Amino acid sequence: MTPFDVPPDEMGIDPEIANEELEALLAGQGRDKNLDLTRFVDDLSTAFPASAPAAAAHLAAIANEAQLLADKGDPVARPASNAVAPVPQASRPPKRWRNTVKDKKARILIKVAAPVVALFAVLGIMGSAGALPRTLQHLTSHAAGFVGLDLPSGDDEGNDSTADDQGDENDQGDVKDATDQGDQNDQGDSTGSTDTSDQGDQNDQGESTSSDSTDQGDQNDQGDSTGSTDTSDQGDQNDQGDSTSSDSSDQGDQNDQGDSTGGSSGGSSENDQGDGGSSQDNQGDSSGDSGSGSSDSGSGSGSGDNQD
Amino acid sequence: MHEPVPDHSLREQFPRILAAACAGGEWAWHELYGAVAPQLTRYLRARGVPEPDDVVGETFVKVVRYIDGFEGDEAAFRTWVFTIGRNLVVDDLRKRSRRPVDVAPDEQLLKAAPRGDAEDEAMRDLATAHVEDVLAHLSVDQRDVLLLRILGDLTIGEIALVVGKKEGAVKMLQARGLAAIRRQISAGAVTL
Repeated sequence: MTPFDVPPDEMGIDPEIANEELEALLAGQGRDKNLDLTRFVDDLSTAFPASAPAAAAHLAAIANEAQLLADKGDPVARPASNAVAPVPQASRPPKRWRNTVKDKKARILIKVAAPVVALFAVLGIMGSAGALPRTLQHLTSHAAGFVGLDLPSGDDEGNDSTADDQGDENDQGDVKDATDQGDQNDQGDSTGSTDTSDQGDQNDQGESTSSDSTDQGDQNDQGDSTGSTDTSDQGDQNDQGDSTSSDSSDQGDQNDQGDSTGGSSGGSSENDQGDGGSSQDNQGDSSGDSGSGSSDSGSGSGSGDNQD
Repeated sequence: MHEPVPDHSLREQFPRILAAACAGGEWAWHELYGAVAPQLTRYLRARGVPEPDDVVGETFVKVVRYIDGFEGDEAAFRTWVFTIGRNLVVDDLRKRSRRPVDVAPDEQLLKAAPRGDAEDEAMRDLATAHVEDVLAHLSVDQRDVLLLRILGDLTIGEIALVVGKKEGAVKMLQARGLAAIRRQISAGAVTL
């Protein structure tokens, strides 16, 4: 091999000259100049003659394939088939085109119908749950009525005795609470016959025979018994031991323990123990607190204040 | 004597025939088949393809299937058909290399069977043996280019498209193949 990786006997090869020689030979010229090559080309042509022995079978296969494609609607079936000789033309579009048109119509129908069906489904579900806005609920109920479905119309809210009782956890024993909202751990309300608008009680235990009205926000209110006429008692926390009191408008008591026979109408007491009113840091009061300040220090006619 | 290739060229008729074939005209397919199939068959036989007729049939089925995407003149059509046929052969060889088949192909059975005139048959067998011996000394690419040139009647440019090489590379392969043939003959290894 030479440094150029070309065999020594191929160093003088000129591809252009070789191409011209072969071209002339194939054209029947210069046969006497290249006898060896001429004989090789002749033998090659003799050994492998130009023939197609299976032409009939191939042409049948070609016709079959063309027919199959025509059935599928390929270009060979389109009306241009009379380019040379007239052939029967298809009077309808090719099958594939027909299928495409049908598919397109179906696709458009699906695109239009799917959102409508979804909308009706959502309205139906929400309407049956009564969760739609009032106007929409009314319309939905009215529309459903046409087909015999009975959906809430949105006009009948608050008519039943236990309606709107929302959010109670562990509520046991309520009998006739109306619009009782947000009670937690409310135990033992029995015959508390006329609780109205009782909101937000937590751990309210043992109220009996009371007639709290608009009692809001009581927490840990224990032992109210026969506190018969609490009205507008709001925000009591840890109020224990009220008995026979007649607090009215008692708001915001925290840790109020041991009230007895207090007949005052104070508000916003904190850590008030044993008083009957609504003083703050008032422990051990008994009977007669009638102040309404936030830091009650024995105002009014209170007697027996221990820590004023 | 070099056996002249029957002139099946369609020339100026080609565009009309192609349009008719695209439209499903059976007569047009006869014309196209007759113009290309004989050369393709002899090229495949010379390449040693086990069942060249099957490959030709499969090639034309593909041609029918994809004819609507074809654009070009007669030379381009011949090049396209040869490309399909050659690719089928390459695919077939690849498959056979993975799963060798020992069944004797039709070509070998036909060679073994008696075929008419005994003298002609003997001469043809002798020529075939000599040619195959010479071709066996060529590289695959050289043999491919020379067979496409001599038996397929393709030009250098068309061969370049079929084998996927540049024209210069094809010319070089052709020149080296011819030089190798000359060497074989002059060395006396093969008596033509």
